[in-house]
Amino acid sequence: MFNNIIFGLSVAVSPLNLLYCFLGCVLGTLIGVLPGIGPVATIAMLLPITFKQPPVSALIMLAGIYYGAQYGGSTTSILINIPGEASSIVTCLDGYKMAEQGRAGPALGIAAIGSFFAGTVSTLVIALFGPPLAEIAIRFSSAEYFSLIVFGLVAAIVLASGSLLKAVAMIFLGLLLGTVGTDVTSGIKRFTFSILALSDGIEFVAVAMGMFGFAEIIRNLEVKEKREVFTSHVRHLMPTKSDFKASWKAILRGTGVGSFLGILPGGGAILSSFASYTLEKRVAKDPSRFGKGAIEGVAGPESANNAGAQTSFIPMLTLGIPSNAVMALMVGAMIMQGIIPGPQVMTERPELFWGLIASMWIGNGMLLVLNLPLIGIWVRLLTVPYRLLYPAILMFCCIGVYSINNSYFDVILTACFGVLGYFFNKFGCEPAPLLLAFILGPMMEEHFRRAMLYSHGDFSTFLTRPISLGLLIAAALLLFLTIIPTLSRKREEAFKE
Amino acid sequence: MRRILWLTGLAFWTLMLISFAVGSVFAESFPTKTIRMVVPFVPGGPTDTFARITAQELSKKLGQQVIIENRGGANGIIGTEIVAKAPPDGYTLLFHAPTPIATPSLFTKLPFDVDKDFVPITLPVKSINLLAAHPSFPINTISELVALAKAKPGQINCAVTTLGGLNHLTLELFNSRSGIKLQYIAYKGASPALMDLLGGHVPLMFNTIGLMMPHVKAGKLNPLAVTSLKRADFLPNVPAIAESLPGFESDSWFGIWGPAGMPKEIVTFLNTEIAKALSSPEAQKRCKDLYAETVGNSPEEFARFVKSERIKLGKIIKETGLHLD
Repeated sequence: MFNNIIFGLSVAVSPLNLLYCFLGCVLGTLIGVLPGIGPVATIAMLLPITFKQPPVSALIMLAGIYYGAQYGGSTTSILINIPGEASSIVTCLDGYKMAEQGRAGPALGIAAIGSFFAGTVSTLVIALFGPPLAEIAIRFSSAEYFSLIVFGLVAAIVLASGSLLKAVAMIFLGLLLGTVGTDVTSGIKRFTFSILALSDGIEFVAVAMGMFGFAEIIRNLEVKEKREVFTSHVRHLMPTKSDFKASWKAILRGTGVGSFLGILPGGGAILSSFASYTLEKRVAKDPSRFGKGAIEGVAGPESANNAGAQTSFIPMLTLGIPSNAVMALMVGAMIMQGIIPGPQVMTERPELFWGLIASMWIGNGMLLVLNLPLIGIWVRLLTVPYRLLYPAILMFCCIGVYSINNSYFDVILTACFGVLGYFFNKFGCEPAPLLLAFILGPMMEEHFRRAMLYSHGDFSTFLTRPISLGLLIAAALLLFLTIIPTLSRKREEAFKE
Repeated sequence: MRRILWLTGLAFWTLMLISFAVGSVFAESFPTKTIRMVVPFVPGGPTDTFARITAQELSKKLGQQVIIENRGGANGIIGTEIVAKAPPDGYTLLFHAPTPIATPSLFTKLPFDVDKDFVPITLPVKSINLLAAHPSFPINTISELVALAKAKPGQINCAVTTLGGLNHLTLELFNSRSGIKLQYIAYKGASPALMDLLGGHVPLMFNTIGLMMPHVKAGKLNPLAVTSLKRADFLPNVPAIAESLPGFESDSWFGIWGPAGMPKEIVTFLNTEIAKALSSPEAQKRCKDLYAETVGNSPEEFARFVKSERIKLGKIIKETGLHLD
């Protein structure tokens, strides 16, 4: 086993591969920071260039772009409340609040450190447990996915720090928005109003960027004094000892959650950051700190999304099945290099498999070294007068959103959601539950119907399959535990009156 | 007066001569800039991969870059529409799977006319489809499958990677010819379908040999039959469905089209160059790795093929009442 890792390291530290790793990480960080433009668009653009490079080097670079983007995505989430990647949405919740309190540096720092730790551990996980984990992923069928998502939705309630009722309302609105598009099983179009651009659903980045980023910009323009806090109260640039003390467990837990959820195809990495946030809030001694700048709310999710990004390589490397769009591109890149992805890659091309894994670890190290010094620069960026900053942010966002589908419709959608997000904020409704439900709703429906198709209409399939049953019980428990304190609090308040 | 007429005539014919010369010079110097090949799917799928293989080799032959432009969405309609509305100067091409151009009856209305708005250039790549089963499924031959399906109508599931896509229509064709009803289960693409097949949650799937071969080789999938008329060379022990259902043929294919109105010389030129590009050793190797074969037939042959596919698939679409609108 360790022979393989040493072998992989020997492949990964060749000067060419190191260079490609570095290139990938730098590019990845850059596009992660730029809102909207994500690893998918970048890798698609760079694919033709990779054909001329040796296969291992090409894949190392592309992989570097992917997990580098996870690092970069947290930067914009923390600094300007714009999720650079889907998985960085949760970082906006507490990370931005920390920045508002002048603690952008520690937030960025702990995000980078947590990501590095998670990257290291998950690389080991891939190396040691890759194939068995892929077997577990295969056991997950639609019934299990459905129950997992039900669990996730119940957990989403916890995401909100405000009123429970409003959180549930946002969840339902998110589910409703998620129905827009074409149904997988029947091909029927819903709520598309004959607009071709809507037939695959509302673009997720449009909603995320609109409700988080644009809305925040509108808010900032409304309240002028708020911006001063960012710059006048900047104390440390690095996390303090107490920050580390508070975060280390979150990092561990986040890594575990992310490593597991990442292997599940279809949204594993996104789910991991949400799941980690929920977990942190649940186990925290004082959950009310969340949403107001709790560092665990940054440490956990950031570790989780990086772990998830790395372990999402497992189905691709061990089975040849891509678990998300980026992996599909990597498969394409491999095919163009004459490498047919599948279970035989591990044995027929060990230098590819182990070299890639080893370089992931090296890449994570490079990213840490890259990102930590950059914190100072990012923080200083915040001192730029807002009247110059926000048009630049808006411009990058629009370019980013457009670049996803070459569709100006998406940009208009983002603007609409920006306005919507502003009003929701005024009403005290939080966008995070809406976004989670928006992602999970369609998946939940697809898996529910497919599970029913498999069982030929038998509802008990969700209860007879052990993993599914376990998840549903956990969801029920979680719901119970969430509602009980609220109910008893309401009763107390009623008593007081 | 006569002199003026004579000079006008001379000027006229001179201009005509010059324009012909310029025209043919123009045609000979095509392409002078980058050609964009639109692929109406998100990057990374089989269509995209074959398009990239073709584009790479074509770029070498033409000396001009042929870049792939992915415009996914709406069952491929968005990307196809873009090419339909592009200027017919040969600088915008479409590389696409059969839907929607060969299966227009799946849609009640399309933002283009599948006959009038496109000119066929060539069929670049074909791939035989395989019916594979999970090892836990207790069936080894087509006749056993048909017998089981007749005993339990609608109870056996078969994964389908895109609703209305070629593997879906292949399944329905098989259902119709054998008089059974295998229930299709739609997925969003090949990856989730393959994951479920490998996990044994769904017992069967029709798809290209290229997608499933690594798993067949690893013993994780059972190859039941191929959809070509004769047995495939690389799977000599796997029968063709045509052996039990004479004439059954349903292979995967892709097409290259251009917007209608393209000058004939450019169509012929592109057709020849693409055929040359596809016969290059690089392209041959890549396609062989993916268990696909290059074709590169003439525009007329391609047009005839598309018509015959439209009739064949149209019949099935009508029978099953499938609709994507």
